[in-house]
Parts: sequence; structure tokens; C-alpha cells
Amino acid sequence: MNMPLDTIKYLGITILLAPLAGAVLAGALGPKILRGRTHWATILGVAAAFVASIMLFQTVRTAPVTARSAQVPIYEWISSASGADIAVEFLVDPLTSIMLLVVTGIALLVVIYSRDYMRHHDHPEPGYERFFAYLGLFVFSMCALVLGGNFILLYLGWEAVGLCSYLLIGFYYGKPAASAAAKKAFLVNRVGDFGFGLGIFLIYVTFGSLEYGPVFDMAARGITATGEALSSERITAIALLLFCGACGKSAQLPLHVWLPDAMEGPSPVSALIHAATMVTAGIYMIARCGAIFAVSPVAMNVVAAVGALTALFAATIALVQTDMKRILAYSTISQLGYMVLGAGVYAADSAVFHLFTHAFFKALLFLGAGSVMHAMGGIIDVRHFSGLRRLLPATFLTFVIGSLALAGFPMLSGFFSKDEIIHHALAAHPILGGMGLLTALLTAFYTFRMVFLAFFGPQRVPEGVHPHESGSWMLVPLFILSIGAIGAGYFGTGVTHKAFHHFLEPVFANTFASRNPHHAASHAAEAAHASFWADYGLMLISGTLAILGILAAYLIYVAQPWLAGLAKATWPAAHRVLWKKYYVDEAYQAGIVDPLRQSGRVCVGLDDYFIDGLVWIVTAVPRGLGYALRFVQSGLLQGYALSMVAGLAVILLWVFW
Amino acid sequence: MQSWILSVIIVAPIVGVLLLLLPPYGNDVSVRRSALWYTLITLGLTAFAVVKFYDAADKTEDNPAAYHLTQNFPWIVSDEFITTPNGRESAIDIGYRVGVDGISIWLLALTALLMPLAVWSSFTAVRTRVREYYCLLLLLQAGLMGVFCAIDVLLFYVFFEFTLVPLYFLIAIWGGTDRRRAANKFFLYTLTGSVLTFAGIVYLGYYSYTRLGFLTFDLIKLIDLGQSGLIDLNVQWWLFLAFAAGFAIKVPLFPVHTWLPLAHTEAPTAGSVILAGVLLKLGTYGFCRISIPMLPDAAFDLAPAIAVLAIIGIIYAALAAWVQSDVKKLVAYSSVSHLGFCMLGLFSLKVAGVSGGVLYMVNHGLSTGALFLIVGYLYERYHTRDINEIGGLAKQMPWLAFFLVFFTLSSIGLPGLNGFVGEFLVLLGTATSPGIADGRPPGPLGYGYVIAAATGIILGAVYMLWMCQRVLFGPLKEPPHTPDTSHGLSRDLNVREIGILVPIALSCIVLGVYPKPVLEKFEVAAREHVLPVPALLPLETHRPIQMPQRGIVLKPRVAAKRLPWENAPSDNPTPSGLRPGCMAWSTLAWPCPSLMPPCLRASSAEPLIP
Amino acid sequence: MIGVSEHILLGAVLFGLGLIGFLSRRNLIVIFLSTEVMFQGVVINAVAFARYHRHLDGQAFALFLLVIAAVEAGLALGMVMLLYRQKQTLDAEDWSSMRG
Repeated sequence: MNMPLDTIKYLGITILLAPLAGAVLAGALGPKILRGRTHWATILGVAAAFVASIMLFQTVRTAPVTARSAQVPIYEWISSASGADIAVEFLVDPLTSIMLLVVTGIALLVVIYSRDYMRHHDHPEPGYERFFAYLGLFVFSMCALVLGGNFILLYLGWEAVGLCSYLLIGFYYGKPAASAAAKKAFLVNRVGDFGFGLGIFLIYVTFGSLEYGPVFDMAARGITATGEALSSERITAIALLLFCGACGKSAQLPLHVWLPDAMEGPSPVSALIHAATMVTAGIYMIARCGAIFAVSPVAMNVVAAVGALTALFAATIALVQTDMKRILAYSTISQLGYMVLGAGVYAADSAVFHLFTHAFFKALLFLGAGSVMHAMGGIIDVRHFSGLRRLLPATFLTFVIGSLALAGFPMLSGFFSKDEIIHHALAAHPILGGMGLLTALLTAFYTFRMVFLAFFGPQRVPEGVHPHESGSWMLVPLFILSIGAIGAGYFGTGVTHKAFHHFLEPVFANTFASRNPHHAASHAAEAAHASFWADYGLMLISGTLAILGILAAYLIYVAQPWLAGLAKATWPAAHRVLWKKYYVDEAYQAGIVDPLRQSGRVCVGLDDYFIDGLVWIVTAVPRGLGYALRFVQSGLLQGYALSMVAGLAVILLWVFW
Repeated sequence: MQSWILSVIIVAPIVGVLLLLLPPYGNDVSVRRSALWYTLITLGLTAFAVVKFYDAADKTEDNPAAYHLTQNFPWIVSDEFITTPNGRESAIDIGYRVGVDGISIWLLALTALLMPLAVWSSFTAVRTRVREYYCLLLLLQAGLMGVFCAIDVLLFYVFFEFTLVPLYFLIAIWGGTDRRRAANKFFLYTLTGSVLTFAGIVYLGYYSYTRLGFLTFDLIKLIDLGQSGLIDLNVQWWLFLAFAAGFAIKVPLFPVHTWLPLAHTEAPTAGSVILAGVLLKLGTYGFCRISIPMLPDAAFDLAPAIAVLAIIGIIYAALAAWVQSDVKKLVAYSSVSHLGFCMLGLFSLKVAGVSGGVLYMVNHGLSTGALFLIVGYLYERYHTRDINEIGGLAKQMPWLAFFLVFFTLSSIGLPGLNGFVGEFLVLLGTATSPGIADGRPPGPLGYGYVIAAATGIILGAVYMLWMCQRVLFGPLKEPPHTPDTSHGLSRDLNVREIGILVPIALSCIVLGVYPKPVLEKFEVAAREHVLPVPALLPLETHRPIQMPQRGIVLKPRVAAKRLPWENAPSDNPTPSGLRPGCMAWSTLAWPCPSLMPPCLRASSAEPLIP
Repeated sequence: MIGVSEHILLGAVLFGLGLIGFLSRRNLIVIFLSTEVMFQGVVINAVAFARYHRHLDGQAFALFLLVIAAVEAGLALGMVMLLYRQKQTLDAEDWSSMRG
């Protein structure tokens, strides 16, 4: 018995349209009518979507294991008898339902949080209504991305979340840095989308269709639309082009530069978009397109390598940053690197699991940073405040919980999910696994460096700021997320018999799981239950690393603060390189942006001088002739008469000669 | 199906001109209102025509190649009659033939929609010589409607040229500071190309005489002539180049685009809207209506060159737009960039590419027209278009900011808005060009072109977002003594100005979310009129060729041409490349048959109809 | 007998004299008078051919020519009057504003 298609169709439409309706209401009625109550439009819309997601999840869960995937058409969008038939359709399977739960759930909490965050002394900030409209639009876009049943809807959702990111990062548009960051985010994403679009076209050229079902089927069987064998170069090219898009959206090397700048947006935006949902779209896409990726070992190696490199790279940068949100941004890039690494070593279910847990604790951390920012009057640089743990106790508590989860403290959610990925990575590529372990150590270190710098030490606040703890609208989501940060991990462990992974099994069965070349290695060890060391060794190591990192941070930043200064003084060059984020932004500016602008000037010069010069030469001929013959027009009556007579004489001569 | 509606649509603006000349001089308000009413009436008539078209198309589903709402009056005919297998034909067959298919009807609708908006937007912008201004706009509309309805090549050319005159005056009198030079450059540049096109058309008429026995400019008969392989490859090349001279300048294609930035910048707002929104489409329309169907082999051979020029145009114009300081010039360069995409789609010679290119024409008209309107609003208030002098306007003008961002997104192809559908279909057509999935022969382009063109996607976003950021975001920067709120202008857009932009925005959304009804008709038209399947050519001579839809029967005396994708170089070697000397010689020696060049004497130049 | 060639010669001489006068004189009215002389040369030509063909068509045509000359006189003198009003001079060389 298959899943009830009608139920899914209506649930899907609700999930899509409820936040959109909320956004339209907020945008249309907000400024004049709803004003300070605009948040209800979005909250109700997103809540409706969340409830529908839960119902969808239940529908999928109660269906028999073999029939958990359904493709539901809605209407025909671009029809053509020429074969480019694009319909608006949904694909609902366990991966979709999990992603929808994450997206709508976190979005609901963030929207509730924003009600207080976007206020100043209980007066809504200017643009309050616009904010909630954009948030609703974002939830719609992300759900469209996840629910889409073909590559075009994926691309639509992809670009639409990029748009919402642009609108929300540039929310404080009066600030030049914010609008510049928004533009940068959109353009870097566009570069990724360039590769993504090329991949989609290549998929169409190869497979003759853009729907997930036929494409994945053909890819898995290794044939193209015409029935010929699929060359490995072709499928690798497709996979790498799609991955290019993932790099852009999920801020992997070298397209990571937009995410730290995106912190110019309000903190709820950072929490929702740049931590929990939008940036995970790349991981979702790789998981969804498992059939394409898993068939190409080259692509998988590239994916894994990029993921590991990004994780390490971002972690090193986060070591020296002083802006809390930027530290969290680099930490996000680093954790996304983990997820990509997981996908790259055929452990897509672990990657999605880490996505799941990361959504909780990263959103928690960003919302906590927002709470700090709210209390500190908009300042989030740890050089300007410290010792906040007495002033903001609830924020402190939730923030520490989130930090522990991020650092991979044993028994919290991050620990389990990160551990799995490192486990699979070590089995597949020991070097990459090693990089993952090193990154885990660094993660713990810089996370708690941030905690200790902000919340410990002498109490000082910026001038003129009267810190107060946040209201319940902000604290309740924090608490809910802390529960998630602590407990979400258990869905992937033996306590629930790895419920999470089993739920996702049908999605990856034909793709990642079955083609995993490292399958034998990792499963042999597990199945053998050979020794305590094989089962729990890695857990022990990573747990120890986490605690070591926390202790090191404690030592350097709380116990003996002079050590920090010593490190900076001893290696100033290294510190400078890390502080300047490896000069990547400057390299892009000098290597790409400036030359392009220069070539634009060259083009304009060509236009004005060369091409118009040629035009001028062409016009110079009649002009010259005209100047030469001007003398004929004397303006005198008799001159004209004379030329008439002369002409007549010539004609007469010619005719009669 | 015959109908008077198209002639009424063409004549209605002219009647409006005559009526506009009635009110006493100086009564500006009534002139404006009347002009708006006349354009709205034309819009209503066009909407009626669209409905009638869909109705007629549904009724004749078994004959998708038919033109609808046609009308056919003999115009220049001769007393001498010739018997052909289709009946008696006059020796000279030039007629007033109008009709529409899926492509024309929607371009007509685009023109009809943009005109009232252009007229309405000029209410506060134009305050001198008001009556002449609106008369010229209405004349321009009549010309544009005529171009899209004409299915006789000479009639097409007459209307094509006719549109130049009102626009010349519009730019020269009501334009910006350098208007005289801009108007002259625009007129002479496009005219130069157009006369070359005219030379081609005249030769085409003569050639049809040699091939069919009677001189005709009927598009249907000429397309059949071309599709049945009866136009020699050399002649096809020359004709294609001649037509391309005029059309490519209008498009504008890369090297001959330099008239556009100046003309757009110096034109008044309504002039720019119509120039960018409709006039640029005359070039691409000419290609897809005349050049590609009639000269398929030349189109196939020359398509890579045109595609390369189009791609260069996309990237070059995008880069040039990025460094502009004049907002209007930036949008003008963006037009060049976008129409490069359109040309790429048309020359993919695939149904998806052609329908994408046509949809791109409509989309570009809407979004760029709206962008020019917004720039016009800015100019009316700040009397400057320099990016360095204005900035941070979003705070003061939220409505303008909203619409500017909206149309920017439509312009850069955000999915969900109209630009994406066109862009996607164009690139899809180009990528699948070598394939035969749509029942048409393999086209000349391929995936490599997609890679180059897709960089235009990035660059398009670059300059548009850069412009938005400079103009809208950041700290407020206004020149002194602005905004100028005299003449009924408010700081932000007033209701009239918002009301002008709303229909365009709604069209963008509808075309983005549900383009199917429009795309269906484009597809049918692309399939039947732009890329008709050539009749199967028998290799033996003397066998009549039946064109089933049109019922024309032609008896070739020459060996049939090979289709480009059939590899059989042994028999019937097709002459590759040009023999320009031969062509020039034969053209010049036309009056004296005894002086014909030797290369033509071998092939038959006799008429086919005895 | 005086043949037709002498009459035609007379007509040609008159025409030539009128032409030379037209081309070389500066006074507008004299130019116009030369035009009249050219006309009369043509009239004589027409009458001569009438006599040669022994037909009266030429003489009828000569009457037409006389009417035309008169009409042209009216027009030309009217224009000369307007020109004189503009510049108070009858010099043809003063009117060169259409110089290229």
C-alpha cells in the first residue's frame, strides 16, 4: 500500500503556501494595519507549516518501509511538446520529511524569538513588518527547495533562498557594510549557481529529463537517455558541477567568503538561514542526488577533500576572531565542512544526522549571541565586554549548553553526530579523518575561547549600556533549542536503535550505502565487535579531545590570561594571516573583481573609440564627399541656371552624337 | 480565419492621431487624456484579438501551420497571369497581407500593453509641444503593430522602416542634452542596415520570379521556396547576410550595437521604454520570422558565428554596464546583454530554444521597459542619472526601491519571475541543439555555448545588484535642491506611477509562475513557422514536391539540395562557402542576360513553371 | 522661299540671346525680361513648325505659350516684389543664403 497521495499533496501545499501567505499578509497589511502585531502573520503561517510537517512525517513514518517515497505532481509549469516538460511536483520521502521538520521547526522558534529581538524597548524597529514578510518568504523558499521533485524546483528554491538571504542580510540597508555583504552573498551564490545550472543542463542533455525519478534511475543503472552507457567522465562532470553549487550555497572552500560577511544581518537571520537551513541546502542536495554522486568515485573524493579542508581552514580562522557572530560563522563553515566530508565518504545518513543536530545547537548559539547583542546595545565584539555570566544568567546557561554540544562534549548531540562522521572518514581516508579530529580539537578550543572571553572575567560592558536579561519571547526558544541540543543526538545512537539512520535508510539504500567502497572496512569492524577499542575507541578519543580543548581554552583565557598575549606576540605573522582570513577576500578582490572592472572599462573604451571609430570612418566617406562637392551650391540663381544649361548641353550632345 | 481586427488595430492609432489634431492648441490636459484613451482602446482591441486568436487556434487544431485573423488584399499586381499548379497567379504578387501566429500575437500584446503605460508616464515628463509628442507616439504604435502583423515581406519592411521616423523625432525634440546627435546616429545607423536589407528583399523578389515564375513577396510562399531547397546556398548566404545587416543592427548584435547606449540615454522616458521594449524586438522578430525559416541552410551555417557574436555581446555588454555611471546607460547595456541571450536561443534552431528566445523577447520588453520607467521617475525628481550623485534612496522612496529590486530580480532571471523561464529555455535549447528530441534536425550549437553564455548569468547579477546598491542602499545622498516635487510629483512614487508599474509586475509574476498558455502558442509557432520540417527531398529530379499544409506544388528542374546533416558528399556536392564574385557579377549583369557569369549558366535559371 | 530653317534659326537666336541675358545680367527684372525673350524664341519656333507642317496646331500652341508667359510674368514679378521688399535691392547676387 502506497502513501496516500492526496494527503501528501495537500500537506505539501499547506507547507508551501502557509508561510507564503503569512509573508504576503505581513508585507501587505503590516505597515499600515498590523504594525506591532505583524509577527502573528508569520508565526501562524510557519506554525501551520510546522504542524503540516509533523503530519507529513507521521504519514511517511507509518507507511511501509518499501513505499516511503512518493512523487506528487501539482501542475504543469513549462510544458512543451519539445520534451522540456517541467511540472511543479513534490517528492516526499524520509529525507524530505526530516528536512521539513528541521526547517519549519527551527523557523518557528526563530520567528518567535524575533518578536522580541526586533524590538527596542518594546517598540518595533523600523522595518519590523518587512522582516517578518521576508522570513515567511524564506520559509516558503526553503520548503520549495526541499519538497521539489525535479531539478528545476530545486534550482528555484535554491535561488529563492539566495534572494531571501540577500534581502535579510541587507535588512539594515542604511548601513553600507550590510548592503555590501548582501550583494556579496548573492553574487558568490550566483557563481555557485553558475556551476549548478551547468550541471542541471548537463543532466538534461545526458538523461533527457529533469525529474528526480527518471534521472536517478538512469544514473544508477549507468545509462543515458538514448540507452547508451554513461561515461564516467560525464557523470563525474555532472557531480562536480552540482557540487560547485553546493560549495556556493554551503559556503565551502573557495566560495565560503560570503558567510562571515552575512553576519551583518540580524541574529535571528543568522540563526535560521546561515546556520540551520539555507546553508544546509547543499548537503541536502548531495544527499538527494546520491545516485549521481555515488557512481563517481572521483567526485566523492573531491567532495570529501573539500569538506575536510574547509572544516580545518575555517576552524583555524575562528581561533583569532573577536566578533562572536563571526566566530560562529566560521564555526558554521567548519561544521558544514564536516557534513560535506560525511557525504563524501558515503556516509550521507551521518551527514544528515549532523545537519539535524547542528541545526539545534548552532541556532541556539546564534540566538544566544543575539541575546547578548540585544543586551549589549548592538555590540558583539568580545573586546568590548566580558563577565556576562552574572548579568545574563539564562543566556549564559543556554549558550554553554550550545557550546558544549558544538565542541562535542561527550553525551551531547554534537558528540554523537560528529563522531560518526569522523569514524567513517577515518575508515575511508585516514588523512581526512585525521584532519577531522584536529578540527574537533580546534572547535572545542575556539568555542570555549569565545565563551570564556564573553562570559567570564571581570564584568565590563560598553559605555552607556544597561544590560538586562532577555524577555521570555527570546528565552523560551533558547530553552527549547537547548533541550534539542542535548537530546537530539540520541536519535542516532543505540538508545533508540539508531532510529534516525534507519528512518533514512530507504533513501540511501540504492545510492550511498550500496556503492560504498569503504563499506567492508567500516562494517567489518562494527560487526566484529572485536574489542572495546574498536567500538568505543574513537568515541573516547574525540571526547578526550573535546575536553582537552575546553581545558586549554580555560587555561589560556581564564586561568592565565597572559598566555594569550604571549601566543600573539610570538607568532605575529601567523596571527595576522589568520586574522585576515588568509587574505582570501583580498585575493578575490585583486584577482577577480578588479580585473573584471578594468575589462569593463576596456569594453567601454572599445565601444567608444574602436567601434565608433570604425563607424566614424564609414560616415566620413559621404561627409567628405559632401564637403568636396559643396562648392557646387553657390546659392546664386544664375549659377544654378548655368549648370542646368550645361547639363542640357551634355544630354543633347550625347543623344545626337 | 479571416478577420478585420488586425487592420483595425493598425489603423486605430492613426485614427487617434487624426482625432488628436482636433482639439484647440494649448489644451494639454485634454490631449494627454485623449492620447491615453486611444492607446487604451488599442489595448482593448488587442486583448480582443488575443482572445479571438486563441479561439481560432483551438478551432483549427488540425492545421497548426495556419496564420489566424488574416486579411489579404492585392496591392501591387500585374495584368499578366501565369498558370501554376496552384491556379492562376498574377505575375507580380505583392499584397497587403496581415495575419498572426503565436509569436506575433504576444508581441502585439506586449506593444499594446507598453504603449498606454508609456503615454501615461509622460504626463509629467513632457510639457512642451505636447500634442505633437503624443501624435508621434501613436504613429509609432501604428508602425509597430503593422510590423508584427505583416506576413508579406515588403509590407513588413515598409512598417519596419516606418517606425524609424516617429522615433527620430521623439529623440531629437524631447530628448536629453545630446539628443540631436543621438537621433541622427540612431536613424542613420539603423537606416544603413535597413537599406541593405531592402536590397536583399528586392533581390529575393527577383529570385522568386526566376524560381516560381512570378514575383511574390508572400511570406508563406517564400518560406516554402526556401524550405524546399530551391534557393541556392550561395543565394541563401547573400540574402541572409543582407537581411542580417538590417536586423542585426536593430537587435543589436555585438559589433553593431554602439548606437544603442546613446539613443537610449538621450531618448525621453517613453521613447526609451518603447525603444527597448518593442523596437529592439523588431530585429530578432525579423530573424525568426524571415531569415531562419526562409534561409535554413544559411541559418544553419552562419548560426555558430552569430552565436559567438551573441555570447561576446552578453559578456561584453555586461562588463561595460558594470562601469557606467549613468543609470540609463547601464540599463541600455543590459539590453544588449539580454538580447544576446535571445539571439542565442533563436539560433539554436531547436523548438525549445526558439520559444525561449521569443519568451525572452517578451520578458525583456516587460522588465527593461519597467526599469526605464523607474529611471525616468528618478530623473524627474533628481534631474540627474549619475550614480555618483544619488544614493541611499530606499529610505525616502520605499515604493521605488521595491519596484527597482523587483524588476532587477526579473531581469537577472530569478526563478519564479518571468526572466528565468526564458533564460532556462534558451539555454536548454542551446544545450540540446545537437539532439533531435523535438523532431527537428540537429542544430548547430551545443553545450560549449551554454558554458560561455551561463557566465552571463553571473555578470548580469553583478551589475544590476551593484546598481541597486549604489542607488538604493547606504547613506542618503541627494544633489542640492532636489527632489523636485513640482508638477504634482511627490517624494516617493505617487499612485499614477505605481499604477503604471503594477501591470508590468503582475505580468512578470504570471509569466514566471504559469507561462504555459503563452509558451504553448510560442511552441506551435516555432514548430510550424520558424522551424518547419523541410519536405523530404527526392534525390531524383522532376518529381513534384508537395507541401501538404499549403498545397503549393513545385516542380524542381534542379537537383535537390542535400540537408546539412546528411553525410553523402559524393553525389550532389553542395557548394560550401560563398562565391561572392559570381553573385555580384550575376546581380550586376541582370539587365543583360547574355552577360551572365559562367558559373550560373550550368545551373538552371529558368522558371520552374512552364 | 524662306524655309523653316531660317525661322528656327531666328527662334534659336532669340532663345540664345535670352539665355545669355539670363545668365549674365544681375538685375532681377532684366533676368525676367530675358526669360520672356526665351519664351518668344520658343513661340517663333512653334509658329515656324506650324507653317512647315501646314497645320494650325503650332499656332494654337503658340497662343498657349503666350498665356503661360503672361502667367509666369505675374508670378515672377510678384516674387521680385517680395524679394525687393526684403532687401531693397534688385541685385540677384544678394540672394545666396542657400549656399551649401
